[in-house]
Amino acid sequence: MVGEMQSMNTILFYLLAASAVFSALATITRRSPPASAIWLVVSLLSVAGIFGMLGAPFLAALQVLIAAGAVMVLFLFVIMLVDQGEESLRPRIVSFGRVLGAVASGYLALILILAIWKPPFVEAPKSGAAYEAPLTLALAVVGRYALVLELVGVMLLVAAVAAISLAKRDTTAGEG
Amino acid sequence: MDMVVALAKVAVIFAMVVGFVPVLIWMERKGAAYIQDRRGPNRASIMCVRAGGFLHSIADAIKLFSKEEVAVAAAFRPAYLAAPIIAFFVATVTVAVVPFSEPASFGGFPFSLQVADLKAGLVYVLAVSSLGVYAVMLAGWASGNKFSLLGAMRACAQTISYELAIGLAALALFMLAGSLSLSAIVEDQGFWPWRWNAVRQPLAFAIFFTAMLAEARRLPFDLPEGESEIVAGYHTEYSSMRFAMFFMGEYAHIAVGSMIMATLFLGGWQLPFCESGWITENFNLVLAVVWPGAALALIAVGAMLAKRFRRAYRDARDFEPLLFGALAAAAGLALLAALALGGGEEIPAWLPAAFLTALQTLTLLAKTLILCCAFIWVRWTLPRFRYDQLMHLGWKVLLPLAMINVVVTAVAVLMYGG
Repeated sequence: MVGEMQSMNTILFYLLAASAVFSALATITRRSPPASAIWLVVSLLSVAGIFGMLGAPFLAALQVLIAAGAVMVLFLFVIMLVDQGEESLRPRIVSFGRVLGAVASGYLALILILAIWKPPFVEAPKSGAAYEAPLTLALAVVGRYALVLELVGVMLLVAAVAAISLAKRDTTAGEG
Repeated sequence: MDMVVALAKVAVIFAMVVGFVPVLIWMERKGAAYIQDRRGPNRASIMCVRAGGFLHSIADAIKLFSKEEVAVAAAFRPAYLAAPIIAFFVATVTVAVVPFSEPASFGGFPFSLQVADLKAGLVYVLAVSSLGVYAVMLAGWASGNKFSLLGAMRACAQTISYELAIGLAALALFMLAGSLSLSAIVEDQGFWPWRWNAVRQPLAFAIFFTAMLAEARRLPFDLPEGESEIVAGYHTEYSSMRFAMFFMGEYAHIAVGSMIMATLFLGGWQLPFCESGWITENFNLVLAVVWPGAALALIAVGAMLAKRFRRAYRDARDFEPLLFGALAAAAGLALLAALALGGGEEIPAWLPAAFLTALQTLTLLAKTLILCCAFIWVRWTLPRFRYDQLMHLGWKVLLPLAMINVVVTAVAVLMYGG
């Protein structure tokens, strides 16, 4: 029975991992921005499934709730509102993004080669039962990472203020 | 064995949720009719059986199956096809963490009618229901129709605004119970109705109910499909069974939302005024009261139906009350006969636990139906909000109230220890 469970978990893991990798690839190769965003949602959901399998269902639920359920909905909302169409996204002849991408992928390839050459892979450590409870995560967030949390909060606030000031129409000039 | 039981539970609970859909459609039509002083559906019949208009749901299903599926040229096909599936999936999968009965033991085999008792059950509910908006967004965007897109935009803004209020209202419950698991929250409420969360947390209940209406996109929050402005919103371009999937998803959403609310606020499977252990301990007494009581009630129902027999139509339809009355009376008489003829047999060991499980499931379903009635009642009473009123209610009324509720609850829990 245990062996059966084990093999089912393995199959499930490979399914989720393949789905995560495939959808991540689709995210960066699709030309249409909404399709890209939808693939990113699929990728996030797959990663949430892997979190759940690693024994952290709370983290998995949070990933779905916040990343997939709130952040990506807003992303899609904006993308669909300012639907550019594929025409306006034709690649430039030499783009800075490509250069940056080439450097980044070279770096990634280096890491991958190193990883395969001298595999540091170990069996994923089973997170303890503590990770099933929300308490562990809560203590980490308000204890150990409290400063980081506050900084992220301030950054989001700055971004929100900036967005509002950009979006606000100039009511002094002309008829408002 | 575990696997088989788990699969059976999934099948039973899924069937229960899907079975809610025709019942709710019937309740909606009858409720609308009575609120508007009409008779409501009463024509569709098989032979002479009309079942109070219930057969109209079946007629609807046949109609929807046999209609043409319009292929939309401007649609982005994969997303267009996926959207109704997502709508139905998200609506039904939430029910996995709802406990329908107390954990019982059948001859040492532990059993409770609940698919998964997640430690983070409450967060799971919020997470899955937050995905529901994708169905609407994909449908609206992939249809290639400006009215659909407008509906999707409205749905998106609305869902995001009201999700926050739902999360904060649920947070207060979490603080009271000290756990995110739904079975722990039900356990914590106990069997006295004045200890249920609807009484302990009336503000959270009101906020949760209002936000649930918005999440289910029901009137007065049905701007995403406001038919007087944007045709039918996000499902303008859907027809036949694809439209029916949206439709069923909406009703499943109401059923599941009511189940979640009954679990969180109305004590879930807890029988009011009656501790569940008492029933299993005094099972002989319970049986001695319930058995003849059920028999007499069935006979009374039969007599009442038979009294309604009139030659109104002068055809087979006149005999419908007689038919159902005879069936009910026969069932009641059979129960009485079994009581008189039998007796003295040993009660099998599994019977008390099975009786309790069934009773608790029925209790939860009854509470669910009461909340569904409230959904329907609100729909046929209130007019649709304007967009600015919707945003005002969500951000300036519900959200601050939910925050105040959380703070007050936190202080109270710290002072009185929950």
